[in-house]
Amino acid sequence: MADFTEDLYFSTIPEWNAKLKSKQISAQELARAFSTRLEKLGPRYNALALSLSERAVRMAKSVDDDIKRERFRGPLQGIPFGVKDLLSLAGKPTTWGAKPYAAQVFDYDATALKKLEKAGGVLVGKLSMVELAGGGGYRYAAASLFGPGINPWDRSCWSGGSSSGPGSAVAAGLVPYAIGSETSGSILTPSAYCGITGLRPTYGLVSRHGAMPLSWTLDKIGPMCRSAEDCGLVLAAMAGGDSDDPGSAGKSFYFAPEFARKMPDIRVGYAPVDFAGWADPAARPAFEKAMADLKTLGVTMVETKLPDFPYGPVIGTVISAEGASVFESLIRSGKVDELADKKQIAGLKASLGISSLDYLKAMRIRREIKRAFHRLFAEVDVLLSPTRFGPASKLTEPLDRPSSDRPVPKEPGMRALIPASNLIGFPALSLPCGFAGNLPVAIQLVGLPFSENLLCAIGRQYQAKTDWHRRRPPA
Amino acid sequence: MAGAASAQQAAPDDLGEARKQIERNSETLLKYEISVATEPAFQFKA
Repeated sequence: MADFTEDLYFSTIPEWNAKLKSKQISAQELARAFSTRLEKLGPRYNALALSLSERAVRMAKSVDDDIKRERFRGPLQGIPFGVKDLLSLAGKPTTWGAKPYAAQVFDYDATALKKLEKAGGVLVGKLSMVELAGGGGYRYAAASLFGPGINPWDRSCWSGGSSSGPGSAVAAGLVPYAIGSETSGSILTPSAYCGITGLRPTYGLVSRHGAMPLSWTLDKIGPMCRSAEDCGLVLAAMAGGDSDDPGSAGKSFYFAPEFARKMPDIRVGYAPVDFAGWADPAARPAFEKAMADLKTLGVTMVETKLPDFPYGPVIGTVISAEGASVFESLIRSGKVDELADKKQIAGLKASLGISSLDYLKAMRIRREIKRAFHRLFAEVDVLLSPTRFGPASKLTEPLDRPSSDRPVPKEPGMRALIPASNLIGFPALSLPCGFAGNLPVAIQLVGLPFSENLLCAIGRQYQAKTDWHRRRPPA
Repeated sequence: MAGAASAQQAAPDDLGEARKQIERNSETLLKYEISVATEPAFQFKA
């Protein structure tokens, strides 16, 4: 029996893989250890939706049999993981974080899960989330069947949403990695708030078959991990075409950072006002240090700004219109009133009134946004900005009101980078870059479609020079 | 149970505010001029 020290739970995927291949540890030991830890500590952060410990040990036994026969299936083989409770697992509850769906059971597995299990991944639990991924807009962190996502760095603060459970669980060492989803910010925000590395893939790269739909033209599934390298390894196993997903791009992903473009060839676009004006003063030293560390990689920094578009109204209209169609029966039946957050209930009800003209206008502007971004990316290779401009908010703080009364800068900078890059389906990587007080903060890199290998390569080099991704919350 | 259900009802100001937000979004979109040649950003695969 391996000796599971606290440090060991924070190992990266290559570190676990080395221990498994050299038989220092078995997949069954690993599954038991993480299942026990997730069951014991998951509730402390409201991170656990459903423990799958017995199933995990069964899966792990099959992995051990393979390893004994030297049948190696890749770097994820035998390594436990968790998944946001928005992906279906046959025969088990899939609640979408919402009371009206608390007893929902599907008879098929989500494609992303099937792919990870085929690669030898061992699913140990389903993880909590904001109800319906927050599609109606919500006011409080408590907008979830599981209660508010609690941040392992400070239990009075939110873990971020809507992939709250994956954020907390990875940060607290309850799973080595987790799968989240993003419509607009739901992987990046909890990754930033919890001090982990999160990758939102290009729209269509990872199948959404078996995932709760919120907005068909925006939804993405992606990894939330300890490092950029781990994100690349997990994405490689999950990505690929799927005829069951109408939005599938039909492309695969190969993680080969050694073949990414060299750092001196990379132009990084940034807006100075993001770091000096928009950033929370307590987070500015961390963001400035991150800029300086990135420069030492040899990249060229280029001042730029986002094209001028009404990103908020466009994405708000698209999510509301598509979400209203997805949840129409929930809303019209009145069961929507069982949701936890009053603002979310109201947002969903009001969304039935969105006109088709508004939706089409938003989708046409979206086309123009995409064109403008392709022109912008003729001048830069990646965009850089703080992932969130400050650390996690307090659990009790309303999320729909400004958290500070600081004067607002005149220049918009890249404050709208999350909605903008989601609207055009570009990928993004969030990297922890320091602290504001006791809470982590992060930067994000946004690249062209299917540039995940470049993003992960930059992230990997950045993390080779820094140790923010190695920090862990107080026990 | 009926009391609990009604307690969960959206407060009138929440619903009103949500509707106003949709109107504000609509007005912003209306002001944005766009070429007649621009098609919506979704694809239908035959």
